[in-house]
Amino acid sequence: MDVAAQQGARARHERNALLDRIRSFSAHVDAQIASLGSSGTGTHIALQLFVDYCTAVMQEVIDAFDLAPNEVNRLTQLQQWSDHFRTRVQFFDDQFRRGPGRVPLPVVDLIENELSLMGIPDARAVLGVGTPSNFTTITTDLAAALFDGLTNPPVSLTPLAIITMPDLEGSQASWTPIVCGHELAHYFQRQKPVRRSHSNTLDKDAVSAVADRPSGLSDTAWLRQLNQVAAAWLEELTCDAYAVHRFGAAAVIALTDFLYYVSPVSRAGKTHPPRTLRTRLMLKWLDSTAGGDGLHIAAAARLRADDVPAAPATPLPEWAILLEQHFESNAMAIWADVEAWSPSTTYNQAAASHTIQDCAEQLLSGRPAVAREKGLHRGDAFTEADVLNAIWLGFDGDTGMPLNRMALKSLDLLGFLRKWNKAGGTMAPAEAPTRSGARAGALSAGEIRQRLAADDASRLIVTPRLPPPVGDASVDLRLGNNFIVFERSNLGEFDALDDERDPRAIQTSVVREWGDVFFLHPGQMVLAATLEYLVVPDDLAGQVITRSSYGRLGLLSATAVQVHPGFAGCLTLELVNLGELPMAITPGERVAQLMLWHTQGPNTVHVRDKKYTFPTGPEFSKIRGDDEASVLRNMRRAFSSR
Amino acid sequence: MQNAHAGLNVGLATSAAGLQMIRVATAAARKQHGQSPLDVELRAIDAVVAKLRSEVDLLLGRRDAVVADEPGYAMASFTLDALHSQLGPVPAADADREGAVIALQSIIDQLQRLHDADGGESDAEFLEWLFLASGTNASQSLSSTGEKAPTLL
Repeated sequence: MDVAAQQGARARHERNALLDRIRSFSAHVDAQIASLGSSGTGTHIALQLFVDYCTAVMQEVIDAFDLAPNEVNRLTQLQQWSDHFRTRVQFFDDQFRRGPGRVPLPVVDLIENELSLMGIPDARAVLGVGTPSNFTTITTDLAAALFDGLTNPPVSLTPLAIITMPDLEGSQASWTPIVCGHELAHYFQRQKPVRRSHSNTLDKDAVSAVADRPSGLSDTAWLRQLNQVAAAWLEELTCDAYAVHRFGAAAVIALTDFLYYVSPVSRAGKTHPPRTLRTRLMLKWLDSTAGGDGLHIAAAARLRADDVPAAPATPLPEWAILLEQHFESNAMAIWADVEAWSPSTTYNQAAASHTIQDCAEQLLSGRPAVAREKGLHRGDAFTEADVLNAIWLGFDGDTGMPLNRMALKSLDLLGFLRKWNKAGGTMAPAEAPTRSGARAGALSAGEIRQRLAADDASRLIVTPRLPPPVGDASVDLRLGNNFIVFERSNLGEFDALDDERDPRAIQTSVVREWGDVFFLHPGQMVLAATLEYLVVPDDLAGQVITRSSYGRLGLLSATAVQVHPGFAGCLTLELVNLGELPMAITPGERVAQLMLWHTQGPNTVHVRDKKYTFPTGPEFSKIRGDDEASVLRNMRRAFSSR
Repeated sequence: MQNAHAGLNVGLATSAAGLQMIRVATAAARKQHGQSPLDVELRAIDAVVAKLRSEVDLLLGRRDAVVADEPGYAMASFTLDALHSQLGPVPAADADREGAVIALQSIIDQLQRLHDADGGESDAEFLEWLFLASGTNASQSLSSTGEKAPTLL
């Protein structure tokens, strides 16, 4: 075989192997799309682009192979196609392989709201779990990046803001300022470039004088390289400034804490400034123009600004010191540019300090914070920024309260209410208390209104209070958007007392976006929860029943209807469809009603000692944890060994 | 964010640059045999010219560097490296900013002649070689040993 024939055989082999890889990858992505269930989400759009890319690139590989002018060119083209494909598989693996993980829907909602605030209302947020210890944002148009270099790239109709976050931090509300502040600002900067009031080009002579230049690099190449680093640092610092501008001290402490976690030693990178510089500048912006930090929310960050006292100072290379000086001197110009760029999203702690304190108090008391509950400001709505600052303020205490869970429920309710109001919904009017002397039996409408309006320990809290006003001897409750459903398993039976059996082996949790629908099939049971978070005073007990309008259609709230005195949380609804047809139920529907009765005597069980404490959605059965479960297990063992 | 995966977006852009450079080389190969470049190859020439021009603008101080310049910066680096690998050590004249600008501008002119229906044959052999080598540089920057060392515990 001559050389040309050998090259031809090698080229055919390489082409076929590459095409096989592309087909295999396409099948993987297809399977991931199928596992998403409902269609139309930003993630669907993103994943479908990968499938379309596979189809397009296969055709281009075949065409290029047939039309190559010679064998050397054909082989070199195949190498480039292989690189093109491989980098996209790597990209997919980093950004999408882990799926949405435990990224909470309220954070997705919040990002889409932030996109609207910045004048990009059509963009969809695509949030996923990426590599641990890193947040990343795709700043370019996904279709343009995937199809870059191909013959006919598709036109993106839906802009996608694609952000991945670590599983741990992504599931916690406390890190939300990183995602909704710093990361989103990367995306904003490409959509709406910041108008700069200062030059970011480094001084040529100062760069020439730097001693630690890589060997063999000319003045021109060295200056060019450092100017590219300066551009990357400027973008990062602009993102930090935006986060502080939008979320105040919560951004400073969330970013500083995370950066210290992933990089205990402050180092300068080609794409990222040293951690200590970032914290110093964020504190400078917070203290000088963002209303200060009178509540000391970011107090811990001040210790990290110069690595005092935990870590010894690590000397930076000379080029990094030059860049530090450049950005220290331009810090206030960066801040001013961000303020001009995003004038409508300023957060000022000095103006919001009482609100943040009230918000933190509610979270620490085990109540989601949607609106202020006290004094003249009762009913004034909190903002997301208030909630995020309140979490970090609450971390100062040591109450053992699940602050992040309360905060996530708060963000969820704020997001729901935003959509509710936009769709024409209203809030219930303030309750007009009606005095009633009756202290026995079921509470009348007047007594319920009185309890809802109370300011003391007798208060019944229902958050949020949506219409209709209380007109009968009950309060209507709405369906939340978290469900626990049964799934097919390979278990032959489920023994509730078996401590090796976890309900998660037969049940799984699903979440529906606000506005989406959940289908309940005939005979199917699902665990749902109320949208409303309730706090029941110690002298009342309740019962939850299905509203009769739904009961007539076959929807029944099955068991566990009792609500104990002192209960705080969202009520679990065990919904069953007893009808003949699948029933569409929409989160937000008024499906249940709560009736209340007076109880006598103090509630002797502290609420935190109970099995289901502060639930913000349906919870899996904890029957294995019952005190007598081990006794019953022992009895069974004794019986079987007779 | 901190610890950002350096190769993530850069990898996508570099591989696209490699593809565009090999298409330019293919166009040059066709020209040498009296054939017209394909439409897709003409578009690749336009894309490469646009990136090199953007880099020239930056080197001439007409604007500040921004993060979005990364693909153009990478393409200019691959091309100049390929050029200098043939010419031997960087000549003193090319070590200054003007030298780099002159080299890039010369390549841009040759690419434009390649793009034109008439002419460009005289540069075609050089351009085919230059962009095959540039593409190989891009490919090299994306290459690794293919395996990672086992975790040592």
